[in-house]
Amino acid sequence: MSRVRVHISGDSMWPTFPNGSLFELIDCTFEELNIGDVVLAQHPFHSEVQIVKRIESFRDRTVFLVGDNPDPLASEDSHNFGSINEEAILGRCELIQQ
Amino acid sequence: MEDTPFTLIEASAHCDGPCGVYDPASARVAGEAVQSMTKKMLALEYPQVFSSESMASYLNTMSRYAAIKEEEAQKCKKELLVLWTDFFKPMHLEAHPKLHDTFWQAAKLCSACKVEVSAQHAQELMDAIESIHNMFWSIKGREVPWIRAS
Repeated sequence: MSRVRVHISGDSMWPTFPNGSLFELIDCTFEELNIGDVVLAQHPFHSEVQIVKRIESFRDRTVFLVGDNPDPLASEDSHNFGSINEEAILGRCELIQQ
Repeated sequence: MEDTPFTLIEASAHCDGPCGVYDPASARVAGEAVQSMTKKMLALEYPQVFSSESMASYLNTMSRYAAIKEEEAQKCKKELLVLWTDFFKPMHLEAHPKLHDTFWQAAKLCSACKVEVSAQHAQELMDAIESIHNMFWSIKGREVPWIRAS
């Protein structure tokens, strides 16, 4: 299976991961995910958009995703689009370079 | 391992919906109106013929200048506050450490221009808006010259 890397554009994960950060995508099951993990997810309202966010909490089989940027307008995340289903999580992101 | 081919995914880490629709030009136009009305008020001469009619015209003209100055100063402050709180983000402070103070002073100058008829404060407001213009376009990575409409 070929490896998958994820390149982010935008500042919603600043200051932890600035614009242009590169990640390795790790395939994992829902049960292997933890609060605090950075994940690649399918945007619930835009089928062509995939997003990188951090897991803030779990509720049943849904996940609440947030950006790291402390500015409330700096991240489009579960504060805007709500919790997402587990199927929308595409994998865990491990940082390669900032 | 590094030679292993990989698929690259471009993922979004963008901000909220309004991202990208800001422009300090709105504040600049309002600020110019404040300065223009301030100049008009200071230049308006007392009527040479003192009569009810001439005084009514004089007061009407002065009142209109004052009303527009008041309205545009409030509009300018609103435009600045939207830029300050919505467009500018914490990471922008790294490159522009005077950002908060510049906005604070600019907002104060809007208030000063409302309560006074001060050419000096109207100019200082325009200078502050120019500084904000330069910070804004620097962050956007574009060279946009400071151009006034008046």
